[in-house]
Amino acid sequence: MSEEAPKVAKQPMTDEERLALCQKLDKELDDFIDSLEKKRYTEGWSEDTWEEEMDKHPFFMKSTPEDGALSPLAEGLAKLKYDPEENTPLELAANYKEDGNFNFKHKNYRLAILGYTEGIKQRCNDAEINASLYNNRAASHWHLKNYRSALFDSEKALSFNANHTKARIRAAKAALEVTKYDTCIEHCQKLLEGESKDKEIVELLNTAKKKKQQQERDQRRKERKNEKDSEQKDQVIKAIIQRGIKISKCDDEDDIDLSKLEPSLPGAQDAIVHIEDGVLRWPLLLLYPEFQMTDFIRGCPENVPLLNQLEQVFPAPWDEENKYSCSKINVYFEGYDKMPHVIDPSKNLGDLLVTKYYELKAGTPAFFILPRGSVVERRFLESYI
Amino acid sequence: MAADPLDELLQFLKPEARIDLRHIALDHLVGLSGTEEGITTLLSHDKIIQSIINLTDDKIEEVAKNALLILVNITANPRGVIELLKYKSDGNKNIVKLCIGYVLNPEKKDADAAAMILSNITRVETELESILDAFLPHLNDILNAYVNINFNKKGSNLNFIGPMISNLSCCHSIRKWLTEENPHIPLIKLLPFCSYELSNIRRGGAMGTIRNLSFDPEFHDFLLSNDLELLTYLLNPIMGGEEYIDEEMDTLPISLQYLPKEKQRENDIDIRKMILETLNKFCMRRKGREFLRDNGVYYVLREYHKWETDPKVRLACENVVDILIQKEDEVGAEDLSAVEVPDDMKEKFEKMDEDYIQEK
Repeated sequence: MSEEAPKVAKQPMTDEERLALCQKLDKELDDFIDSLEKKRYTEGWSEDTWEEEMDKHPFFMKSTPEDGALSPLAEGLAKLKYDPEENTPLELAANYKEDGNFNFKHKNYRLAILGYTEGIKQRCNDAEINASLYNNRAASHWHLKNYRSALFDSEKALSFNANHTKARIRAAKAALEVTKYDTCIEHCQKLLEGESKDKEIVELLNTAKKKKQQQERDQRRKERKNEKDSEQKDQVIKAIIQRGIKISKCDDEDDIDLSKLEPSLPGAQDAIVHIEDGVLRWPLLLLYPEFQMTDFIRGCPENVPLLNQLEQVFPAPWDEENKYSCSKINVYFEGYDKMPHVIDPSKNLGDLLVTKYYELKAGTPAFFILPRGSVVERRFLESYI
Repeated sequence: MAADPLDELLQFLKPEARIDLRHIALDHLVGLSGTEEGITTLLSHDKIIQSIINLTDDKIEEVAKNALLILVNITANPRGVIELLKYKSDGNKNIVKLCIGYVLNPEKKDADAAAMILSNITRVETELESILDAFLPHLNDILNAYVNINFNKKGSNLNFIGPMISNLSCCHSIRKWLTEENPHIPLIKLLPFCSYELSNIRRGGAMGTIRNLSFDPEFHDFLLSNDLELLTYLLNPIMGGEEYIDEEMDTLPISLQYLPKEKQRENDIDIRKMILETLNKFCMRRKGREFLRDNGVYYVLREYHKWETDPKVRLACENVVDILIQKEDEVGAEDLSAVEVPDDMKEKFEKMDEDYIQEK
């Protein structure tokens, strides 16, 4: 429109001319508007969604976009609020605190923590605002169940303001959660020093005291158990030395310890030799080379014949031909001379363990069982030659 | 003429007398107060006694100390206490007020002697009610001095406040004070001293106070309330590092479960006896008996009995066990103290107890 105007403006216009031009321009404008009206305005916010749109606008948004990206306008605004060049540390700390509080109110505790943390980083010299920043961050941590951090921040808040009751209550509660009962008791007692006899605090204190007692009791119980265990172990070792049982991989008596007596069979570690009323009780391994089968028996008393154990395992389910019974077998052990030695199973287990050439391997007495006079037995013996 | 030598001493006991003379005169009197006859002699000279009382506040510490020591000796017997209560100091205070002032003064060097005098005086039950008024305004301060082991700055340990509080607790008003909030319950502060290792006097004071409370059924409900954990303090001294089977262990107060092997029992026989007397009192009423049973007291006593060698305390232990091992229908009475025992039976029982103690 404006392009046409300069061309006709060389000479002064007559009134008619001016009038005609006005009419022409009006007409053009009308035409333009008419042409606009034909298509609807689509770039604005629709009636249905304006609230949503408003939330997205940096001026009005109530929370930051979920993807975290800020529009340039929002960034600019943020800069105005958070630029260290524009604000003093105190102002910044207050701004960040406000920010944190906003997020806290909307239960965005993680974001709130970020806000408070930024505020704390300003290291402004106002004790009240620092106490409040730490206390609020502690509250956020509390809601996220980060009790250790909640305790730390609460105590930090108290270092800025020792009379911050809320911070002290939270410190006490958080201390209870992280089982620092002494700390909890201390805070409770400080809270109760004031005249107010808050029932909640009294209860908290009592809970902490009870839990502390339990904790101490459990500790004592554990200590006593350890003591007993190590006493047991000493007794076992002493008994083994007394009996004169030779342990493989042990050079002399001082060399014996329980790690060398642990059964190496998977899952059998807890079957380790133990002592009851002065009687050693051994784990026992019976091997049947013919079927490549084994039996593992726990807690065999040393003063009982090996035969008694054998009677327990026979008849074996895999022994379909009934070749294995106490009267039809020979029992061997492999001595430290790497040779098989036949033994008399009617002897006590303890006596067998001190037979000549006997050596205890992997803390588990092991015996080979073979049908007497069988081919399998011959083959077994020949394998050693 | 044969003037009484004590009257001659009097002039040296005046505050304005020469220090060395005051010293020598008092030394002599300390020696004199060491014997019964000496005390009788002293008590017959009221002016001497008056001078001694005045000298308890002498500027020379050695003099004040000796003056106090004489009073300790005099109050060791009840007659001395009764006599002494008739006097007043220069400042018109009676001896009780005077000593309370010394005990509560952290700068008083010989506060211990003053505490001993008070312990001696309060032991005389007939005089207790009459001197109580002097204590009442200071009870919280006295308790504070008792629980605060560094209360005295001049090296006095004030252990004798213990027996003093214990003696005072023979009065109902003191028992009431001990168990009521103001703003704290005094007894709660006292309890930890049942296991105060450094002094069996202080420890015995705490235990004696509990025993005195237990003699009054009015306080049983309070004493056996769960929050107080009195049983923990009572049983701890008579427990060693013995083992219990788990089911028994679980019934004990939690702080007494799985005590370390090296745990030692109370070595003071009087304190052990007080504990058993206290437990015995709790056995008087059904509620108490059930409470003791529920908390494994029987098991503790069973083990303790194996260890105790003194026949008197063993008997006291057996008396409690005899009640606890019975079921309630076997006990057959809500309140054992209400059971009337005919005199002839009483005599018989006493004779049995005598014989038991003799046997050992």
